[in-house]
Amino acid sequence: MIKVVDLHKRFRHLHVLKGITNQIKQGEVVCVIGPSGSGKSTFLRCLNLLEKPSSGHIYIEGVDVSDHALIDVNEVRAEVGMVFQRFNLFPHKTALENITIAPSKVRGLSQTEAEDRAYELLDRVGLRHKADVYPDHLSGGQQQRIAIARALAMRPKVLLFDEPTSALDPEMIQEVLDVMKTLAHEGMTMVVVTHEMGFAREVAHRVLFMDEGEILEEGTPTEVFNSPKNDRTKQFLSKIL
Amino acid sequence: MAKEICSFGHTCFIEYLFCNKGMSVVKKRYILAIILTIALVLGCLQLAWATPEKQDAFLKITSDPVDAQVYLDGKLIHKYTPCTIRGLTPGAHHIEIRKSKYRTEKRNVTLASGENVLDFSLAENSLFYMWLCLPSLLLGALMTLFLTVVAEFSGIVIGTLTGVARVINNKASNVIAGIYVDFIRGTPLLVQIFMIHFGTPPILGAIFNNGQPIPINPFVSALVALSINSGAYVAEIVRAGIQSIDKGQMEAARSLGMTYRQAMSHIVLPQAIKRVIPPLGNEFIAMLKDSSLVSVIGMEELVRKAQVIVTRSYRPTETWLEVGLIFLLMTIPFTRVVARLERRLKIND
Repeated sequence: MIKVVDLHKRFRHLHVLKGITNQIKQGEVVCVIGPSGSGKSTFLRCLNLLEKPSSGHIYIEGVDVSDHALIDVNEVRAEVGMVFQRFNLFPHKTALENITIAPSKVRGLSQTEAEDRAYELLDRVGLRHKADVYPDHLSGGQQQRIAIARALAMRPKVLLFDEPTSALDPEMIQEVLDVMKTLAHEGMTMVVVTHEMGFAREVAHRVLFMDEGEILEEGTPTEVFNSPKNDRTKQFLSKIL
Repeated sequence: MAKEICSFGHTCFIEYLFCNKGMSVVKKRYILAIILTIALVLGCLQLAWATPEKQDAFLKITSDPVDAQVYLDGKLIHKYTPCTIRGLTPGAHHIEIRKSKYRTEKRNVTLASGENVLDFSLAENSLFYMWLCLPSLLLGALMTLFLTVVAEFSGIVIGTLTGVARVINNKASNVIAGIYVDFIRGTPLLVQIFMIHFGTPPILGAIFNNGQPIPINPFVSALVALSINSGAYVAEIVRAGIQSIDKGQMEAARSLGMTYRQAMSHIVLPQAIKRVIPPLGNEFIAMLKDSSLVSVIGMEELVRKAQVIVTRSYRPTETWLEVGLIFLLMTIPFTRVVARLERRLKIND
């Protein structure tokens, strides 16, 4: 589904990604863990084409998307949903409008089609009663659930989560994680950058440990959490768990 | 000898006067001498009296405007100008002319006997003067307002395009818009007005009129100069407004597959507009004040009207005070509106 080959990303003199190579299969849930500044978010943003790779290749469903000039960036992004740490809901639109805008503008859905789809998604995230509320009047957890619904409204093939619970109050984390778990069980392909080790352990098919722009360790959650091979992984996990 | 004298006849008159026929000649001569002396003295007295003969003075008073009350030596005489006052004693007098809404005019005069003429020209008092100036100044204010509204409107159109041109991902448009904004913000508006009004006619002439300069109507150059000027400032406001929107908004929109244009027009600009409205109001107020500069090219707006009035009335104090008040009356409501908008938009943000 997604194939990454020797991906490098430099910001001027900062070498953020130093050769990432990996493959994400259809229906797989991959959790990316690692200390901050390790390039997890940049990796995710490259997959969503928000960042241009400095070198290397990203194949999404077999198409090389690493050179943005040669592809329709928007078409690719429409298939790759993204959920942000800071939600990034559109504050001038209601919850419903936040969900309907992309399907109607990008997919060309009619207003009723888009709204039917939106209500269905609102039901899934349990926020149908908040359809006409503006994001400012929603709690952080509710906002993030709307953001997930917004991403899902495009019916993406992959959903990328960039620390979806890091900006949330502790009591709101669970409601978001519950939605994500449901999605995972439904067979959604997901790449999740997270610090929620419990979630990773429970839901992930595979865990990647990243540090200083490289994937230092990967494996099933049991492998990575219970018997880490790399010293940096051990060090990191000992601090977190 | 005596007979000879008697023969003159006046001796006979003396005789007749005194009813004394046989008067001696000597006596007659004495009497004659006395009479002549008396006559001489009387004659002299007569001359002395006649020269400073006590004669009345009269005074004609005219005034502009007419119908002013006249006070003579501090007392109201019930006459209204133009009038003639008779029976005055010549000499020093104090004349005071009063009319409501006009300044009282006082004059110390020395009247000569016979006709005296005084002409008063009354100045309006300050309030009445300002009232009289008001129609002309209000007409100017209307022009100021019109210039500002039109210039600000086209400024918003130019400024929005330029502001967007400065933030989009296009080097050429960034640079062109940047040069325009820097040039306008870095030069005085007065110079821009001169450049357009006096600087462009030769260029237009060279292109369209075989080198003969084409003069530009002050109204047109005023509007063009103010619009171009306002456009640059609005561009900065719009740029700041767009850049003040969290980058995450653009990223979220793009991550959903929206094009840059869709994200800009549906997500970023609607939010930027809210933030841009209050500074745009301030820009409008600034433009209202700065538009006074087009008076230098003869545009008949508020300041120009005032200049014309002052050259005729020589009363700068009241005129400019009134101009200031009119400007204040125009800006204060807008300041209030802007403040209210700011508060309301903050609540909805």
